[in-house]
Amino acid sequence: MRACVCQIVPPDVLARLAKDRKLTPAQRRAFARAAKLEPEWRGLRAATTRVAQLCRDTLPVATVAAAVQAPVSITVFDCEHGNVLPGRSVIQPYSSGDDTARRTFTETTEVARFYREIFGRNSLDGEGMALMSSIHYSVDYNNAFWNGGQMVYGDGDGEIFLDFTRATDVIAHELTHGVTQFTAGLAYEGEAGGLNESMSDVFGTMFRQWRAGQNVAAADWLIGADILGPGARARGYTCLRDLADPGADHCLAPQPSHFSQYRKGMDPHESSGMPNHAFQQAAMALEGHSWEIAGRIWFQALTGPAPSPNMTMKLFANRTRTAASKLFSGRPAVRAAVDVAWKVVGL
Amino acid sequence: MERIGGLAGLGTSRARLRSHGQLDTQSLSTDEAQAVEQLFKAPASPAAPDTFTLRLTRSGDAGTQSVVVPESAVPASLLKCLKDEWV
Repeated sequence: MRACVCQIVPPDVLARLAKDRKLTPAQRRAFARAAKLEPEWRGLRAATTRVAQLCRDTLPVATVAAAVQAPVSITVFDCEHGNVLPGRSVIQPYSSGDDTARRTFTETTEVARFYREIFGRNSLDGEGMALMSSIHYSVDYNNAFWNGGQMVYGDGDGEIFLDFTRATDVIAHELTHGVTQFTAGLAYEGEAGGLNESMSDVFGTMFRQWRAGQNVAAADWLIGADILGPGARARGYTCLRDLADPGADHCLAPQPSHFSQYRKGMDPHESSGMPNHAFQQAAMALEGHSWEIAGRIWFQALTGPAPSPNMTMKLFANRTRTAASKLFSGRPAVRAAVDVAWKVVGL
Repeated sequence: MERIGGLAGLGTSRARLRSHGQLDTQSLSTDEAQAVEQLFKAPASPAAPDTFTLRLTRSGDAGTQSVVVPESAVPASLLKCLKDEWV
């Protein structure tokens, strides 16, 4: 086993593995090293997040703007169907014979370009943070996630889900969790949790439309449409979620679309339905490309000053109203469209 | 054991898919049994975005007890009993 820094396995599990006599001495040493580094890594992650947030709030605009010019380092690692992160480094992923590695590198590069060119943001932290992805995680793993420091993608079981890197919106969804972590720092429970998930769906679907050059009328507004396997499609499911119709029968995980349906304790993937639908409604009313007007407003509301980790949906809605007024002060119809969109979902 | 969350939002009230399984704790190895015991004593920290959490429920002479823990805290050998199932 090669040496690694395990970033997702809890310390007590690492400590147990380090003493597991069923493992080879080299494996036990690797886990012992990982256990020793784990708290330092978590501390470093928290400090990095805090520094990025402080830079955002205190650095002169010109200094932050200069950082936007720095290139972003993008790396891909192969877990080779194991559960230890990050895995083996893939050399030259852009020309790899592995479609998953090549696709992950290409689309991660494009997401970085999307944030840089459309929103002027240099990587997830605004400071050119390196973007690390691990592919082929576990066996037939039906999930993709952001662990606080990197992206992780499963291959899917081939029946319900396909390789999670096949969906451009999924890749942008996971990366956007990083942007949220380094900006508003939204919690992952309560209303803030729903907003956190919604930011990832909103910027994920926006990125998918940007890659396809689609305007809002041509877009399907589906999340995860490209990773549903034959078993799911045979049952009539075409996506995980639908921003245009959150409660639709073709969704694998239907959501409420009105705030009156919000309940405490809801999973973030369920409560994100309301803000998801509000964005879709605003973008449709504003016409054109979703990233040009609605996207800029949502980005400003997410990354603007004085965010709260426990932000309510009503507060976020009001931040978009304020952003619409400021960014498009000569066009009152923009603010009006945003206002109506939130009222549609009861906010 | 039931998986909750993930990118697909398993375990939500309207989800069409659930992932669950059960096993006899008497069949666990000593290490596995200790790991499970630890999870019920001190549930691990909250999960990161889109990671799965697991709702673990055990029943015995002392009654029924449930905890929700990150999937990464559960021994991999126990996860093999989980099966995806249409609702």
